[in-house]
Amino acid sequence: MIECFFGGIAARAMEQAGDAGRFAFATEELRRLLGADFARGLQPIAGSWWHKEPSIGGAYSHALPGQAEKRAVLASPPSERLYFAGEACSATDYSTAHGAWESGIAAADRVEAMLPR
Amino acid sequence: MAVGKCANSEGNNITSKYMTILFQPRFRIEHYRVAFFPSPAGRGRHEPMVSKQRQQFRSNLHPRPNHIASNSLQLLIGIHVRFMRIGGIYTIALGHPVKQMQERNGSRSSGRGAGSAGIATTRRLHDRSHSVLLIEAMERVGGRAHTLTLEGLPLDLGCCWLHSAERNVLARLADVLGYTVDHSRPAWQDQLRDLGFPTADQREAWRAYEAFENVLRKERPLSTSCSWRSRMPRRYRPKRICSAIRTTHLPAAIISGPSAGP
Repeated sequence: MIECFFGGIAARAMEQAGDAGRFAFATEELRRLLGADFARGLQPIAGSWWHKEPSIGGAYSHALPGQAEKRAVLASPPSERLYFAGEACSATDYSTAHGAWESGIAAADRVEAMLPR
Repeated sequence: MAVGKCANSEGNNITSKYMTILFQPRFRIEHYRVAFFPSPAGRGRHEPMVSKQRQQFRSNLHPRPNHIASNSLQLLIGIHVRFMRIGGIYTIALGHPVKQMQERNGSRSSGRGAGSAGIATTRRLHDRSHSVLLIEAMERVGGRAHTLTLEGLPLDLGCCWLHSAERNVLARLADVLGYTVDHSRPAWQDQLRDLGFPTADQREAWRAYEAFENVLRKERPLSTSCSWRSRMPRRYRPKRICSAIRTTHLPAAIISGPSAGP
């Protein structure tokens, strides 16, 4: 499994390159590090496309330096009937499933407080 | 750094089976209100719904109370999900009136994407005896927890590590569910054959990182705008945070961190 980390423009470009394009990129990088024999043994099987998923839009959130406070803006409910949750809303555990989980729990508690008894 | 990865008894990565962790054991679909919408024939996977399909959606949603429960996770399709207050009750709006559905089903609250956050919300509300409708726009649940099976082997396309295991609620859940969680140091601490990263540089990078991390452990900042800069070894201290990533000579390991990844 080849696991690469790209952000922002580079991440989008990598998806736009398509399977062939990004596989070629990864292969070339690995060829430089590990040699042509290694690269020849690689075969693409599957890949992720998080940016292309319309309801997801990327692998995980990343706050630019100095912008971490914006996560609080994202997490704040715009009304008493609409609540947002997800890893991007977590101040401390962003980019993780457990961060998303905890923000979901927090949202549930806020929803519950608003529900009629 | 305590980082866990789910592994089976042979030590092989079972690539988290995050979905299993997220849903088991309390999440049983019959305890939740689930709207089942069969995939319209010929509809592309991510094409937006057209009005005809919406109508089909509506007709599927309303008349059959039995569409609600299932023994297995059903396909959930939502459109625009938002909270609305209709007739004094909280309900889910799908871009069209769902009041009737709500009244029929007695469901009065919440639900949205069935990823980790949505599942957690649903579980919490369900555990507190609320009736919950969970709606998912994609043709599968799990969000960015998504495992492919290739050649009989699982491959996580999304989250695959239980980060910060010492305070990771899902790591605890995995333990409770009987998964073997590997607490050993992850291999990302090691540079294969020192490729592109000489040993001396690695040592220096890790020394700097550990000093940095020790400070973080003592006084965990809530954001990058906290005063962690002043705690860094002086030689690695960036002049301005915004320029740190681009222009300073921070070792690569500091920039990405040893725990980079979902």
